[in-house]
Amino acid sequence: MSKDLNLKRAFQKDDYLLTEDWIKPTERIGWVSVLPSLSGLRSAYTYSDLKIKEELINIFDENRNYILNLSDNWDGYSAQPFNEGTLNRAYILIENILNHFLINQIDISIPLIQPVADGSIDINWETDEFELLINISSESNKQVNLYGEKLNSPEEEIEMHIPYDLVETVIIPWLKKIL
Amino acid sequence: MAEEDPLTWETEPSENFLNEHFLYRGIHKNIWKEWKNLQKIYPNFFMTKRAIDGLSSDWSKYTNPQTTLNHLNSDLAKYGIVELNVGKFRNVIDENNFPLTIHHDPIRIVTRTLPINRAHTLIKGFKQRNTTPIRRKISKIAKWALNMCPTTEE
Repeated sequence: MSKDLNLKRAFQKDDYLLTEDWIKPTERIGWVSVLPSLSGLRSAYTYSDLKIKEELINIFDENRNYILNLSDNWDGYSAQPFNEGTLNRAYILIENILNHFLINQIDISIPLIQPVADGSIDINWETDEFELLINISSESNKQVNLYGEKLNSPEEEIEMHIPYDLVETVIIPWLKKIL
Repeated sequence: MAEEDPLTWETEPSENFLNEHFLYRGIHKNIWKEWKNLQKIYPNFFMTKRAIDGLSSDWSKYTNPQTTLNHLNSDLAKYGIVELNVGKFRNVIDENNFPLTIHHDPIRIVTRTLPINRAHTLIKGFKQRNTTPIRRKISKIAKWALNMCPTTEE
């Protein structure tokens, strides 16, 4: 994407994005606001407030240590330990989504990454604007389950059961639309 | 008055679960310790290893949150006890057409892992392939039972 892009013009409502590098020139972009503060965000960080890659790596490392150290019966109801592949799939997905918004200088919070007792991982966004839950199965050949809603806009609800490789192509446009 | 023999306990039908009743479930520290806000219940609470067999809970008709905690042989440093109001639970199921059902499943004989428990109840219906909307919406009606929010070191 061109660094010379005039972001102010690009993100005014009903304008068309000029570059063809990453989006069709006829595709409209809704209004997106760069959040000036963290107030109201339920996640601890916004992507653009951090030293991006280093901070994200730190968050992932801390999260990895927490989840991979969960041993047999970690939930008190016989849950099994996690495999690293499940976590890696979650991290890759998060990083790709956040990278997209970083490149476009759009603030988006970093999601919570939470262990689930069936061995899957929840990627959980909860903000004042939207909630999005993406569940990564422990079995790599299984599809990803997701559910999202824009608060007070039921028409924007999304619920899907899709292959892992398609998640970004679905979620990124959805997030851009509702942010 | 003589105590009832657990072997005589009936398995009660779902209509005996009144709307004002509650279902209690223990949430281990490994689930809630990374929650950003402990005053809120997050969707990863509502799942179990073999969800297809049902999610265990305790029926308020025959127990209370402290007894649920006692059955876990633990304390609030390790577990919190979440409650789900049966009426709200049914509303969420009906409004969203979720396949969840409540089944009374009293434990009449002590096992290696489970004590006798007349209140034991299973929430079934996790056969649906996408549980994310279920877990999201159920987490919104769940809350810590009175005085059963886990304690932290802070």
